[in-house]
Amino acid sequence: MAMKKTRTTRTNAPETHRGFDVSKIQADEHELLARARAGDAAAFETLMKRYEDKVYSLAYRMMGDKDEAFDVLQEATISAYQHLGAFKGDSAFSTWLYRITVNAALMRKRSMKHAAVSSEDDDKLAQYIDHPRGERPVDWASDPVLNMENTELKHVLEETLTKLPDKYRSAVVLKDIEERPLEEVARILNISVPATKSRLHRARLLLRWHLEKYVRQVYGDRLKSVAPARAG
Amino acid sequence: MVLDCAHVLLMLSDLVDETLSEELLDEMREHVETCECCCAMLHTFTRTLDLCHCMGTVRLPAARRREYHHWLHVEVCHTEVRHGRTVRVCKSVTVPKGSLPRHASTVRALPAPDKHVLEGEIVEQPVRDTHPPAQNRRPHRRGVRVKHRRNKTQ
Repeated sequence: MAMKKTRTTRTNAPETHRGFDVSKIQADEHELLARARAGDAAAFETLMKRYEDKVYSLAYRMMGDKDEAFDVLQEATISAYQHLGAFKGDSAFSTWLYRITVNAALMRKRSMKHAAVSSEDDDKLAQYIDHPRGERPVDWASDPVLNMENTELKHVLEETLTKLPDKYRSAVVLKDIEERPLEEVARILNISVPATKSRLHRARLLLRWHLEKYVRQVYGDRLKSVAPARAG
Repeated sequence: MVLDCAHVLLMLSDLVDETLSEELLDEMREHVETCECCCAMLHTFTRTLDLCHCMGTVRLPAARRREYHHWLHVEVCHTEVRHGRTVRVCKSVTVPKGSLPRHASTVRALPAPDKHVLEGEIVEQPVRDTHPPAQNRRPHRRGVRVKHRRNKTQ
């Protein structure tokens, strides 16, 4: 089987997006930001309303609970309001706001004294990477039942996401779910690009590993009949 | 360099994100096309990422959105025209950290601002110190105990 191209790269922002002029929106955002920094609360309100869904979504992926996500949205809003004067404009407002949200989510998790995710998974993963032949992967992606429309699989993925250690979850949520560019993810997490890539790779492997574990448990019999993926 | 399965496993993300050099990409393709394990790994890895992409943005539910807008407008930032000029009025910044309302029912029942900060007072800068000045603090009620009477019906 020929290897197909997996994903298209993210291109630069188009001139128009869903019929809206992007440059006009950006200019409008700059103006709003300048007004908000000058003390115009209405401008801040408008800005926050623009990003409320994105902030809430990120908070939800980080917390795994809708009520907690709403709390994080509120905390991030207050934090953004209080520190608006410190925003220098070196990065996009969205990047800054995402960073505040991730920090608010992490602080909240710490204050809730969440049981720390054991490093057991990480150890197993390290072992798995060192000895990839130890467990033969099953090509469950070829099974027509386990396709992209399989809601059960999506549900398992969502659950698995909450089990990931925070540092991995934040990377995979920002890059693969919120689809932010890698450099921006690094800026949001305040780590280097290579460190972000490393975290992201481990997070992705962990997610795949958990999904496979679930598929083996539930669809073990089915998978025996799936023909092994043959290349070429 | 001859690529083996361990190398492929380490570079799967680079392959998917297309950040590999042409040479390495060709070598990886060659390896994956001849190795069942790596082929299965690549398929399932890609499917996992595709599922992640499908998760998309979680929108704020309508009721929560209304609640947030109300909270944002009334509690966080609110402008009023006073003496012919627009002033910023802060309320929520006086709410001690950690005591934020958790649910819809509690948002409406936000505690009134501390006595020293009157509702609607003009605040030049957001108030960061959430503790009231010492002279306004309530004295601790030490030594005051409430005796509970036992139920005599027992």
